[in-house]
Amino acid sequence: MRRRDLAVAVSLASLSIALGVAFSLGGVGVIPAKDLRGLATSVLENSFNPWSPNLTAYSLNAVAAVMWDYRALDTILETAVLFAAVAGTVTLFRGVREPPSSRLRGLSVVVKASTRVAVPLILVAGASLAVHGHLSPGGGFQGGALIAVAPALVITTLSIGAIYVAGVKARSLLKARYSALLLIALVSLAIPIAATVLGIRGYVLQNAGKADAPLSMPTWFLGTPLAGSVFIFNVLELVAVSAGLTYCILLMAVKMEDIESSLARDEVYE
Amino acid sequence: MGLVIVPLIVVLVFSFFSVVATYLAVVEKDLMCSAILMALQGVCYALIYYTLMAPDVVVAYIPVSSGLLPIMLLAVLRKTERYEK
Repeated sequence: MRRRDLAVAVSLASLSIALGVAFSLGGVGVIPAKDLRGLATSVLENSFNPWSPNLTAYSLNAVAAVMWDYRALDTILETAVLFAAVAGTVTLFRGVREPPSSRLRGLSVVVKASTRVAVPLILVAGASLAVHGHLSPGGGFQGGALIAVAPALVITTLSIGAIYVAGVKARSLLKARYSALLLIALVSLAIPIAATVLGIRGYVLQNAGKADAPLSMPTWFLGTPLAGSVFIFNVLELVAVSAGLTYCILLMAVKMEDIESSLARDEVYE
Repeated sequence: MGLVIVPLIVVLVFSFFSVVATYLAVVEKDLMCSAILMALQGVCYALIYYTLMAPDVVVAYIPVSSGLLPIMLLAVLRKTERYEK
């Protein structure tokens, strides 16, 4: 037993030392590359470069520029994968209704109080990740996943009744998700539709204006680069991902007896 | 030279911890402990990504691996049994 305690202590100590070292040298990188491949060079040179207006995305974060401008179709398909997963969960839980009211139980006072402090911080951090997605690391999916952690935390520590008390309805979450997805599709088609109306050329998922397609998304806002469709897609993806994941968590957290009773009631109706 | 060696050592240490956590998560009979060990493994991977200069991946990986996945597993465990036979 003493040897086991010693092993636990040594591993905890080395874990904390390693954590400290890792946090102190974040971003230094293992092997700083001397020369870049052609694709990386072109992305780094063009993702924010107002002097090359045909190729730039006006996005300081090169990853966001690749995700929502240069390779936006891949990200649309990724969103479609998440759409299919959430639709499958919804189908699996069909007929399950939320209980009208539920008692508040939850864990100890300390855990509850720290959750009350942590939840607003998580919400703000998630929103800021998505809104600043074109300026710093982050983006719509990251922010949405972080926001979905907050209701999961509330369900674990304060029980699912707290979510109902806060007024979050599963049905309205689903509505928010589908309207955000619809808006993503509309924004990606906005420029070709407007260009057709004006009688000029425009591309699907186009962001900045090109030489042969002059229409452009808003690229600057109050002297800050806005990155046009990158920003819009990040915000819409934030809504879609956070609503979808929260909906799945809400369904999974419904108590077993509530599921059984709502399913039994359905059979009576049939 | 020192700047190149130290991050390599950090990556090695966290890979070691992640392998240990994964092994313990597989053999553990208490499935709640197993979910928490999975979260520890996710934190190790996130720090490896952070050292490898991939902050975008870290920001997506932390909420999914150490926030949503263990909590979903706990929610599922409540509906089934906590101990594996």
